[in-house]
Amino acid sequence: MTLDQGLLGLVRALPVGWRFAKVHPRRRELPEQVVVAAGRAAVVTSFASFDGSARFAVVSARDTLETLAVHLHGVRGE
Amino acid sequence: MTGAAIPGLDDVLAAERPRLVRLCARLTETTEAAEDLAQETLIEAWRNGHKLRAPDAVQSWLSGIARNVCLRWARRQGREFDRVLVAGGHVGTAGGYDMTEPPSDFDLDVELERDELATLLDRAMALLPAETRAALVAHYLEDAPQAAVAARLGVSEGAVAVRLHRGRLALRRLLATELREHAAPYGLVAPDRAGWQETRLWCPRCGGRRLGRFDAATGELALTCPACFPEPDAIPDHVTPLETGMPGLFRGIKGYQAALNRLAAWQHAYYAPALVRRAAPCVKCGAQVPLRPGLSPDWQPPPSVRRGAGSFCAATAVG
Repeated sequence: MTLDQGLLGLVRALPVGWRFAKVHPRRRELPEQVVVAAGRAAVVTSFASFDGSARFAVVSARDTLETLAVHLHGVRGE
Repeated sequence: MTGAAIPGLDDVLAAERPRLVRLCARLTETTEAAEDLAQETLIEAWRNGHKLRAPDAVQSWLSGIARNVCLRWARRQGREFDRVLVAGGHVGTAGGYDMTEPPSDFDLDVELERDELATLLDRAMALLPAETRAALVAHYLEDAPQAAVAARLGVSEGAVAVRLHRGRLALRRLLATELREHAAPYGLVAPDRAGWQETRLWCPRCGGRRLGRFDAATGELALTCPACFPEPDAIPDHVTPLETGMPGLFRGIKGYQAALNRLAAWQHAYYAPALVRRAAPCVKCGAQVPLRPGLSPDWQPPPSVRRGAGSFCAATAVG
């Protein structure tokens, strides 16, 4: 038997991802992007609120899935 | 018109204040702001008292206002987090977030869920005839035998049995009609022919409502979106006890949101250390087995993880 877990699920399960989901229950998954970060191949997994005002992105090393950076852009207020 | 026009509302609001302070403290994880947020909740409730259509649902109504007040507060705080939290591979505490520890309110939704379910039941019970309600309360909530209920109400045991039967039917009907919107997220509304129920969760692809199948007893949770995945067999999110090794993972949970939170807590606790050690405990026997992170040229991930760039990790259980 093999367990498998997509990067998307790993990112969603991060405490910071969970918190973003709590504040923005209606959010959109954005397409993953392959980038180079700190000289390493990396994948950017990101979510945005449906009104586009808040965004959450995680940069993960593509070979180890190690979290390299987390970006939060919460611009929506009252 | 304001809440002052609702007889007794001022007293109710004053009595609810301590509960709202506790609720706001749990929602925001800060006791410093909780007093102010509870006060803001009470002011908003007083201003909008004329909108309270079911006075017996005042607790649920106030909890809803408090959640919105706390949400607005959290969004205001969110402006302060508009920056990079972690960089250079270091994962730690930054910007007020601890990146490694699950937040203490991972299971807060379970607590809120219980509160909301109790409130929902109160609302449904309040809509029943008094004699039916008395029989249901005595038998199901106070655990009194039918004979004792009959003696207390001054009727025959047969009459109590009839009242209980009619009461159950009436409750089921209320939850499926008048209170359907509130009952559906907790699996209290009958599923469709394929077993899917309405949820309050949004699809992250199209923004529509997701459908769910959830059985806390067996530890199975499935979520789909009829617009994005019209094929009956295409279930984008599906977890079973075989995958978690924990049939009791969802014990005590009724609703989908709380189940998702519990699952996220498990995923984080399982995979975060495993990614560092490159090994994960077998979900059957606990033996450490290799974890294969990243892309493998000969590995074909299942459809549920084929989205995006296809990055995934896998652990082979040996049980």
